Amino acid sequence: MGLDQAATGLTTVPTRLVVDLQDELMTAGTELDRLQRLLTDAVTQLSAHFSHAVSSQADMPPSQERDVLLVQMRRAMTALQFEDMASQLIVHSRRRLSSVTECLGNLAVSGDEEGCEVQWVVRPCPVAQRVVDAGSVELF
Amino acid sequence: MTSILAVDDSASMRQMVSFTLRSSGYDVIEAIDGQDALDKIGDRHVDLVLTDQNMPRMDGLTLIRELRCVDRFKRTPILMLTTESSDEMKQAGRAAGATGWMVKPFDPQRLLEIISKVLPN
Repeated sequence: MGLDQAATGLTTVPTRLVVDLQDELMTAGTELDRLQRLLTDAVTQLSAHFSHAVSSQADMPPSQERDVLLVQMRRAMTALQFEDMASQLIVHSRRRLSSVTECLGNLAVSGDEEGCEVQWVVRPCPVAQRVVDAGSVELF
Repeated sequence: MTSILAVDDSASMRQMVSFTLRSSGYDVIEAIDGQDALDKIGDRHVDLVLTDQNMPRMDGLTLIRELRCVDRFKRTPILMLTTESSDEMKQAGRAAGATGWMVKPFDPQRLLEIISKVLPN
């Protein structure tokens, strides 16, 4: 420990390491953005095809096949909601990355761990679901 | 025709909700967040509100509190449809004046059953 560190009680984080870590975090953030665009594009196409299928089904005369198709389409509709949950998870992860990146910067400048608060880790993730299955219902 | 205000910032969710409701004969007013919902309803008659929680500008709980301050929305059924499933959030919803809490994703048939149940006869 150098004389300055002993006097302040702070640990210096190598600037080069901080810059490298921040670069990695920013790259991860950019990749999450790309994942979000892919998801949005995929769900836009799926929704368009789904709407077309719905219209075709509605034009069919009543039959057992039509009923079976309707049940399958309702199940598909539940599954198609994956994009909303996935997007919220991406947004939450993006905020975590930004918060850690900012924290690293502060740590490098001041070397003070007390001033390094990862704000978004405190906020629980809004998505707890592990599978795309219909959620619970509670009437008050 | 029974009119339902559907509020969600996700375009795909609005599409799924609207399709489910319109195919069962409901009129649907779509809004992208709480502020947009307040802007769009104006003097329009709304029989039921279905809202997400996490949205830009105004979230679902704030929207419920705003609506409950308006005389004509004091008794209107308001259902939350959200990914949030914690007891704390549900309690907050109940305190704000929500009629019920549905966790995403929704099953279309179940959604229609719940709506029929809470709509005034």
